[in-house]
Amino acid sequence: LKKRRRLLAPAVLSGLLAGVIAFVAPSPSAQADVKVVTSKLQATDGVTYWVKNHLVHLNGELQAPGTGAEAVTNTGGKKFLLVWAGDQNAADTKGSDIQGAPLAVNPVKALSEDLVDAPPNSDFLAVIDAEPTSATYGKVVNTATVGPVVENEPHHMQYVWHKGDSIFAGGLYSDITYVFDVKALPALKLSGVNLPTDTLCGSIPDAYWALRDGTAYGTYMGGPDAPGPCLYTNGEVRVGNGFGGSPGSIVRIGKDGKTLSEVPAALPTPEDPVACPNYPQIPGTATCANPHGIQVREDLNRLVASDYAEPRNIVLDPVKPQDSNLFRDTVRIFDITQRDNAKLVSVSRMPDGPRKERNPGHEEPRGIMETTVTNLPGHKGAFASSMCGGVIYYTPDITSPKPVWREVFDDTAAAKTLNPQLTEGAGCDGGGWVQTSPDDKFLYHAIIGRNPGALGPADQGAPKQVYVLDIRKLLAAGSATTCSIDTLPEVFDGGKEADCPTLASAFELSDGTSGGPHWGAFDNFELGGDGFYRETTNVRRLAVSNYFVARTGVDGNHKVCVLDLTSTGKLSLDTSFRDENEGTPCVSFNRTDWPHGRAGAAKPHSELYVVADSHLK
Amino acid sequence: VKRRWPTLATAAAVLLAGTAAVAVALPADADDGGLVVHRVEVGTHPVTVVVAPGRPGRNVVQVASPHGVEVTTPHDVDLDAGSNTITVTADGATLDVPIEVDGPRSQYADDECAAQLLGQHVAGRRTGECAPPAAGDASRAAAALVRHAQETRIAAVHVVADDTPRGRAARAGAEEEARRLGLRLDDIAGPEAVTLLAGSWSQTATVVRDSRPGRGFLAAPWLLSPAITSPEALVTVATTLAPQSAVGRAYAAALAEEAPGLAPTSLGLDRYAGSPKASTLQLWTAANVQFLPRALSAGHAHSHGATASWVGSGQLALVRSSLAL
Repeated sequence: LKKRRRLLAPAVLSGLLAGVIAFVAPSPSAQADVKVVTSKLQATDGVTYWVKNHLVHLNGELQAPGTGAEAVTNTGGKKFLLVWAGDQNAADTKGSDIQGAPLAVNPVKALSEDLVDAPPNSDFLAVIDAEPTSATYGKVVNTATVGPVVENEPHHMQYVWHKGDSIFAGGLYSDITYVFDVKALPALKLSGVNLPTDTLCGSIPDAYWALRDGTAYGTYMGGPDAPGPCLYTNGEVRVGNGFGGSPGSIVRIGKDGKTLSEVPAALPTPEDPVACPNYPQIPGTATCANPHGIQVREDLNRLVASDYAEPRNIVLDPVKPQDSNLFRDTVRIFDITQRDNAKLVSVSRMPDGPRKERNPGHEEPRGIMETTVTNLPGHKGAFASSMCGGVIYYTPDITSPKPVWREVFDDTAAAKTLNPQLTEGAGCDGGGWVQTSPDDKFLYHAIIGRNPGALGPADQGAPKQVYVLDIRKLLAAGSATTCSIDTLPEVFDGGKEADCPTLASAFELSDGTSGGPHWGAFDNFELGGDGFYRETTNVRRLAVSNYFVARTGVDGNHKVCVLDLTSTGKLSLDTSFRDENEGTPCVSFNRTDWPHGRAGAAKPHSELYVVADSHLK
Repeated sequence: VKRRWPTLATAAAVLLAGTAAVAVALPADADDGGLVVHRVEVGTHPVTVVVAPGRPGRNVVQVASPHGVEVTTPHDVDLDAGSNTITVTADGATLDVPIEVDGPRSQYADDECAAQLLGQHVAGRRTGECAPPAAGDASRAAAALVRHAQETRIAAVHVVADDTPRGRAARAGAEEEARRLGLRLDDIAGPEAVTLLAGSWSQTATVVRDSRPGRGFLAAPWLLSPAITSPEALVTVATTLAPQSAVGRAYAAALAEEAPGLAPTSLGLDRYAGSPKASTLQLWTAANVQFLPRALSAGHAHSHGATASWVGSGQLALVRSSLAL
């Protein structure tokens, strides 16, 4: 075998090196019944970037860009779930996978989805038929692969898609933001690429919020490309500790991918160096500014960003305990009256709660991963959630220069409904996606869960779940809200104040992996009698993905599930949204074959409901 | 091509020679008169032994454990033509490893050369001698890094290079480009300067350990190795071939199979790929993007790549996708 490999190596290499400096492996052969449509552009580095659609024939019809009535006759649905997914390859293999086996690429995996998958293939946006009445509901009708850069670690897009919006999709490890035109779904066009060198003061993009003018704000969680002072587009300067460090930035990106502005997420004055450690230290300018979640109220001219963690966590002494304050407890609110000069008006530390955790990193405010704004004109509030703290915070007025944030729900109260024997709280339960419903009645929250035994042999873990809170009374209280989780009984039973959120439902999505449900999106489109879709505030469906970031040790089962919602917020699994290969509910991204070929398992991080422009009023 | 495999008698002799612990020599592998790669067991630990260039005369010895066990051996050795013995120690056990070398006498050897020859070796190509690094594209690479510094709004450059042809060419290229672009050339790693690393591996390791330039480090494309990572310094390193590319993965996989424990390097990848002519560089930084700090990640299984890591326990994050040479 060795001799054969040696003989093959030069031949293979000559092929691999056809584009000597190309980043990408040779594309796996696309399926025969697939039409390939490529969209290219040249980015600021002079390199040609591309998205390659692999459009699938459905019942003899091709899922191609349709227009008007012609497309109505097409057999597939015109509402799609777009899932931003990374190719899984050898570098994602866990230590436990190779334990006791000789070292080699993918040494012990038995599934062809993995065996074919040693070298990196392209990351992609999967386009899934999301119209429940469609005969091909749940089928992957296109995989739009991106290149030439591989191993982007596809992460977030914007939270909600509205008619006319582009899709903004970020690569955590590539520091690239891709902008896609989705008017002609199921085909996509590449309309912009924002490169690491286009955001010199920030790195490691996390999430986006699309504005009505077609541009978007993005959070760049990590610090400037080079350590030292960085000059932002508004003329301000902050000192940082380098790529992936601190402080992060807020970047406004155009429809063409160009940077319109990059402003500092950090105050001009230092924050508390104890509460905000940085590695390496930034002398005299400590900061917790590592923005992750981002949502915007354009009508209020406010942008809310939650700080999660200094992402680089450079290779420190492995024996030295890490500072739990690396997991941030802060939320930043910006005035965006001038869209290209967002002004930081408040930095709020989320209050500690009543739980006394054995691990300080599990205290309530640790790791404010996400934030979500209210939507209706009469509401000015916003929520924030902590990934490791396992709680929900709320402030009733984001226009206040000194917003008051209170803890209003502990995930423990949802967990106990799934496991009545629960004896451990929600410390580090992995809370992720948090989102208000468009009508401001409900709050949706996805939780990865904590595996049994994490806190000790007696720990039953925290369930992997999605829950729905009824927030109507909280928002109705306006600025006079009194809800506050400040006693231990409220951790388990929910808040005692009358305006506290109440649990509408909790739905467990258990699996045997290190991950759990991390992200989600609501379906904000309904099909009218005229065959056209309209945007609705009456959400009846959530899509949820089960993947975090494999190389952090928290992976997932790589499935995307759809949960049905009642008008009272009750969740149930949509069993008609099924995997086209396995016949079971949820679409699995652990598959051998894709429209773009035999590329193997993929990692679905985030999703959006999107409708073809020709079918949306 | 003549291959040398240890005979049963040799294996038996090795067994007897093993001192405190059970020591078994596994089948050895050597190119004809070239790089020596042995996979042995020292005590209970598998160990890879590389001797470069694997000729009589001056050689370097590299040892590594795929399980992270500390392994020691004399690093610089002078070998006789024919049979030699190198003592390897791991976790308190020792093993005398027989090394056979022949061919022209080696006058030069270093770790960079060993990495290059190992890249050739795992590609299935014959290996040759070691020589001080040639100038090659060093001037253009250093000039490109200076341009990157200028485009990153860095005002000053401090160049660290050695006295090899490569180092001299890199220094000249960097200084000329800095003067052309109006960047200040600093003699020390001051607060406004980026330190451009364009010397040897050993020089680089020392500089990264001992200095803290205000604008970080930019490292030349021959310097990517685990030694370039530092707990408290940001090093951005250039490559001509992307480690994540198909050829990069193929090289890392081949290395893990044939020389487990030894880390992939940019020099090894270049030789593995046949030293293709590059027109652009990519820039990367070593990052351990762990969103769950250790103290906070209880209960979650941690991942470790199946192939050897380029930068220890971290990953390479893309800093610049294309920088013209």
